[in-house]
Amino acid sequence: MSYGGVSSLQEFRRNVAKRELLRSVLLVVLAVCLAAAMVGATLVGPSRVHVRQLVRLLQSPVTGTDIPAQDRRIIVQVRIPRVLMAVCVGCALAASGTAMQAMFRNPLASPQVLGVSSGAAFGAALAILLGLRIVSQLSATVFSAFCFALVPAGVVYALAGHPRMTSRASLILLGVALSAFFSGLVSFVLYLADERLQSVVFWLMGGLWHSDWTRLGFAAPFVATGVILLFLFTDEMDILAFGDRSARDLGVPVERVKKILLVGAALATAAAVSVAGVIGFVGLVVPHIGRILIGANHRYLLPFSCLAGGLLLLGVDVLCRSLIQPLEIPAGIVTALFGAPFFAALLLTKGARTGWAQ
Amino acid sequence: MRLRAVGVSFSYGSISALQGASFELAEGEILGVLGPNGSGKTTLLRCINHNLRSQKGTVFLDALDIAEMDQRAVARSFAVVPQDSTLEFPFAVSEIVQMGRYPHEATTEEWDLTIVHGAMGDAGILHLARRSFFELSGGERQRVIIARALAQQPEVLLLDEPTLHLDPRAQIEILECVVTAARTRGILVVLVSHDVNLAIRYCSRFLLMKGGRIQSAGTLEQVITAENLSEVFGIRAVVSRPGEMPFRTVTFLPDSGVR
Repeated sequence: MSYGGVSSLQEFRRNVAKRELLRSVLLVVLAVCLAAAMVGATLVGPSRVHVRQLVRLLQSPVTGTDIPAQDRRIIVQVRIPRVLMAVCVGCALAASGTAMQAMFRNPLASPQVLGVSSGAAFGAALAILLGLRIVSQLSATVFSAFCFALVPAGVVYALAGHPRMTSRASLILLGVALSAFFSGLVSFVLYLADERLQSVVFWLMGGLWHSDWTRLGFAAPFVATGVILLFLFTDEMDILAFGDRSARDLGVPVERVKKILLVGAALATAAAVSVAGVIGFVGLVVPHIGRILIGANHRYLLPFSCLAGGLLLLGVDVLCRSLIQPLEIPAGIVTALFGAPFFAALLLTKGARTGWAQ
Repeated sequence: MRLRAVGVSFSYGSISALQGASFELAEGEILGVLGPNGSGKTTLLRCINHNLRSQKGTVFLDALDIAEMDQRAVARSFAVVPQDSTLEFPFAVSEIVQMGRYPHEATTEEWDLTIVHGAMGDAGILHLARRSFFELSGGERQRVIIARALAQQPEVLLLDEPTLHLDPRAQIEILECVVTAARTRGILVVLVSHDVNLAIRYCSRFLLMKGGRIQSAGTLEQVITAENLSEVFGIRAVVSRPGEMPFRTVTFLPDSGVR
């Protein structure tokens, strides 16, 4: 028996292998692009750095010839941590968005839309206002951001299963309400903050200009832990696309998996928000681009989101610090300006319910 | 292989949906669970594979108590085909069938693909392998879900109104394909339906349900009678077997008779 040419097992295996190879190649290409962009972004800024200096700096341990101390400081203390931070934060937001869309079966979900970012921002702002210290002030900020990121995440999780939360819109509306609630709390903190105002205003806009090795050292391990938790459940995220009941029939321990995914996403988001403030739309947009380019399979979609999220935020950050020099535009403003029209378009196309990546 | 339910009961909150359901199903048999809407058919089906945890009663697969198996082990023995499946993201057909391998942890990728290929062949969807689920017709989608269920290599197949929204041709084709696959693989089948005539064609044993209870159980001759059906569905039923028909046929009529 032959069905339109695809019949034998060998042919079927070959087709599957071809598909997986294509996707892997795409990931490798993306990784190379990201690496190239990271090098490029190191060179861009108010004082230009030539690529030759970067090369010489990297060779210096071998050759022993160093570059001027000032250039060295700009590259090592300013640019490199900033580039790494952009990638780290972009990766965290996009990976969290991918996981949230999968677990809530909702293509409009993201850390920002569900209020998780606002919760984290409030936690961070509160820690700064109270001058909390756990080991250091920075770690207290991350910890407090994580705790308060779990609040909206937990509310959404608890209410998503409610019989009256059947439509896609109701989950998003719940997220809007939570977002508004925590934004209100952030405003209240801001109102109380007076002289420490400057560092709290930072959360409202979102940006990477505070990047340094200390902050990176705090954010990166949390982001990594959160993202690794997500990577453990890519198969389960696939199966959840058919709904909780169907997933249970296939042997997925739905509640446990969702809880772990939620903690992972909240952890990565909280770490990102603690160091970079609220940067919207990265978590929403990137998974959609991924489904168009690489497909819905999370074994490929999740790494794609990590790489593409990093690349996107890196690009945005370069724009932010080079568009109106010497002024810096907060990254959150740029992502909002580009992201909002995208979100609107998404609502309209998704309303038709025909699916995106055909 | 033998499936046995003993006194299975379930209630949603204070509303009792299933009371003391017991039945037995032996290898090679297809059980038709019939009854009106809200009679507890789907609840019974969900209790069988522990998708719902029954408050009372036990389900045994041979000597194994389902309640003592972990979720993945249950999914290796039971596969479900629901009435319709809504998918959120654009997966390809072969990816969906591959999801059926999830309960089998310790197998090689190569073996999984062999099983997936076989399941897709039995469901007649090899030619759709690379298509997106969203592009398929209702009948094709249901075949994909059947292939996913077969890829689980289950011992019991639980079908919940699998042909509800399909046209007559697709209904027959889907059930033919399920029944053939089940026979060649020696899978027990439980078919929940309120389409009595469709069930008559394919099932060897029957349960008639009403108000969460099993009203009658047994063979075609024992269960599918005018009195039983009229009682359960609350509308006059006529069971006839016209000369040219291979099966008996049930017709439901209004009380006022034929107009």
